[in-house]
Amino acid sequence: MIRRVLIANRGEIALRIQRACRDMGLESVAVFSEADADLRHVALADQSLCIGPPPAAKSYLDGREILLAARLTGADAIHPGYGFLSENAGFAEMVEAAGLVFIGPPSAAIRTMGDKVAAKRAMIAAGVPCVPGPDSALPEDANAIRAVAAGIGYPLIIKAAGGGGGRGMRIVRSEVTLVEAAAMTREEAGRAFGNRDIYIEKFLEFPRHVEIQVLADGHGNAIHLGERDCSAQRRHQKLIEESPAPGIDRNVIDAIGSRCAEACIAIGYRGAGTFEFLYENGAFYFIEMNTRVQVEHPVTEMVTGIDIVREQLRIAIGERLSLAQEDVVFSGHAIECRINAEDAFRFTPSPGLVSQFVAPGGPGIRVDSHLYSGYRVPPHYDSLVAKIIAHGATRKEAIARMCRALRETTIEGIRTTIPLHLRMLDEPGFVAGGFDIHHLERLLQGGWGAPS
Amino acid sequence: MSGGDIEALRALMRRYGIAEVVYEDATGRISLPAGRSDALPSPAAVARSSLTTIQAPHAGLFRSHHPLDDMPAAAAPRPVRKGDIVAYLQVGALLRPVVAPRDGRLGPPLVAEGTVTGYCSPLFAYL
Repeated sequence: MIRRVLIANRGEIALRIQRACRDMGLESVAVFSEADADLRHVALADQSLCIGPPPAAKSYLDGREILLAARLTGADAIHPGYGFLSENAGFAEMVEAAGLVFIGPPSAAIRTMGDKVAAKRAMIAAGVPCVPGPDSALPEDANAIRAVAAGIGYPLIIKAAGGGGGRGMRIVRSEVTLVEAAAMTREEAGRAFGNRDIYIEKFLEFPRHVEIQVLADGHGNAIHLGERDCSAQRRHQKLIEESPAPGIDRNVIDAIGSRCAEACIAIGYRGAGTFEFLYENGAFYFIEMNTRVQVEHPVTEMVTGIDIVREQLRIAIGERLSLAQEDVVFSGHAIECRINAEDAFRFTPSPGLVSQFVAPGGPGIRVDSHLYSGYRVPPHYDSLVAKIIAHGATRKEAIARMCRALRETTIEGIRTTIPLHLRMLDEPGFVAGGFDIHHLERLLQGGWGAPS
Repeated sequence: MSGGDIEALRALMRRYGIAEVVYEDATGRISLPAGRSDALPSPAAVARSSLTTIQAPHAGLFRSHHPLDDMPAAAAPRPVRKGDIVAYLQVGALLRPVVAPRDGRLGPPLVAEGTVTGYCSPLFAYL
């Protein structure tokens, strides 16, 4: 039984988790860094405790200190949110060993999915389609590397087994640069991820990023909650997400979603999770699984009416999923814009004092944000300050509502990405839908959106 | 005066913040320091630290002295030297020391015994 949940995160997701806890009658404990004493969820928590200085390595990434804080405050569960320690199998293991509940999958599942080679092997075994390429680490021998590459064909991509989220990758277009690229990626992987293993796959030139949300309980039940199209990206960072994915047949989504749900059962997965796919020429290719709640989870919540964080808590308590696959009903279209404290087109960080914040509202609008007038955005962390989610009966209506909401929003004192979103929502490629993951980069390289 | 008497006298000196006792007469001079860790800092050192506090280096339950130590914490004000353990922060069986960052004279604890304190919470003020 869970009575008190320690939220090992900050910002909007900490507030989101706290709200779900309150809805379920659970107490919340906020742990925060010295730079975050003024966060909204800290003020609202049943207990709050400063655990370290501003650098994340000494606060939000210090698993030992977070565990001590849990003991000190009598918390019996830890929700890691996203980022920070959310996909750290070692931390999940520490939580389990301490006799606390980690609100997420078992540490073994995080470890398997964190190793991209092991994850690919598990997905192939579970019948989930993967990008062409072997489900094993690349050998060290140059001739063996060339042989593997020849079997796949160029262009291909070399990835770090311990990487993810767009980090630790190198594209190779011919055999001339192959061996050197492999050596460099291996070296970087060792330094960045503590794991020198690399693997190789066919490089898809113009894919979309489409992901499947899943929920699995500890009683052998798993469902999917449909897809999110997250192709509006810059440097592998998502900016706009939407559901349903424009132009993809619902039967196709249901088929791939069912495979993902079955895979959850096959690998003993528990909790919320996301299967990320590249989608090109009508086919899905698994790239990685995120074993946590996603930033963009509200998009799915808006089209299904299911509270994903609440389901995470229910699953952690040991309850069964509150609904079966046939109970999941998709309604309308939802779009999320990530509002970052950055210059809209130069993307330079813009921390500082928010002198005024007025949130948008009205039909079909949801705002997940920790902002308030007088809040100071610290320079130490991710620049996400708000998520605006618009829902409508159709994609066109959702876009119109999002435009209205963005124009209503007042955030003074810092620069934000709202101007970029407004331009994007009016851009012909976006309006048409179904663009690939390089669309925004191409626009920006062509001078689109540059200040006149 | 026995060795035990001298130790008892030194303990009293530490308790009441006396750094050194000097007895001098026509035949000679006797000096009894309270001990290295409890010697009074120089007035200049006290002045330098007078505006500072000792903050919690970690989160924990505030303990003014080690639970195995029968001695209660010295009454305030008390002199401290840089590096002295002035309190502990407890989480379960774990006791983490709070160390004086500089020489000075400490006032009473700013938090009650057993209070849950967060990182950087002020625990003592230098006088």
